[in-house]
Amino acid sequence: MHPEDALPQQETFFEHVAGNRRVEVIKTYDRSYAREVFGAIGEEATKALAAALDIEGNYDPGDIPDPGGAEYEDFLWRELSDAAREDVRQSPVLYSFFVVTESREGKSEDLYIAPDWPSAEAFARHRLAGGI
Amino acid sequence: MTSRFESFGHTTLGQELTHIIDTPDRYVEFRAFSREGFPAVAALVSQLSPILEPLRESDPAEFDSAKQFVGYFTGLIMRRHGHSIIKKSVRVPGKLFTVAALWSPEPTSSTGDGGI
Repeated sequence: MHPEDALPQQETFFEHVAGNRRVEVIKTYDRSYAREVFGAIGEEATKALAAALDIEGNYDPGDIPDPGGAEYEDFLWRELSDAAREDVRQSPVLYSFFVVTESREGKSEDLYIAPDWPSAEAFARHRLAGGI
Repeated sequence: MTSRFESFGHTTLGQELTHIIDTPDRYVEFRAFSREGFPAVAALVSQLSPILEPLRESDPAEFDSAKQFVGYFTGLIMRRHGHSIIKKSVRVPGKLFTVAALWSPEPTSSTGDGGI
């Protein structure tokens, strides 16, 4: 059996339709998909993620790579991935991520990813309000 | 002078957390988790989540205080056994705690009293 087959199923945590737009927050346990989403999110989403992870609160400034530099993406992915890890006593290899997706006229785009539900919901609501 | 952690330890929640953490087997778990490269407090996620998670929404200040107390008390136990911090802030698996200290897998000094 492929390891991914054993993962819990993806769940929809939030869904809002406005006209021809549908914004959803889904919970996924697929780390490969999460990495793809992370690599594709925009600058505002990256800033929102860094805030959700409280990077500045948890690390000394000297320990944080330059956000404009090449190392920052790897650093932030490691932080996201580590924060997404579930209780290792239950499963040493289980991660869960919340992804904000917008669908419009048959096209779907992943906009944001976080290890926690509140920041994903906040991003989705902000998006619906036209703030991002 | 009484520290804020010691004060918290006298509250009802502090006593409950102390009762859960301060057991003979707990240090064995802390050491095992440290050997695997996880913060020692990660060993407590399963037991403490049912107690602390309800506070996340209802009383965020108490939630934060309780988590800080857990980190403090865990550190106390590790230090008593001669462990030292090898990284002061790493992510904790389990989504209950955010970051915590990573402790040396083995005692690094003989200052511990060998018991809790």
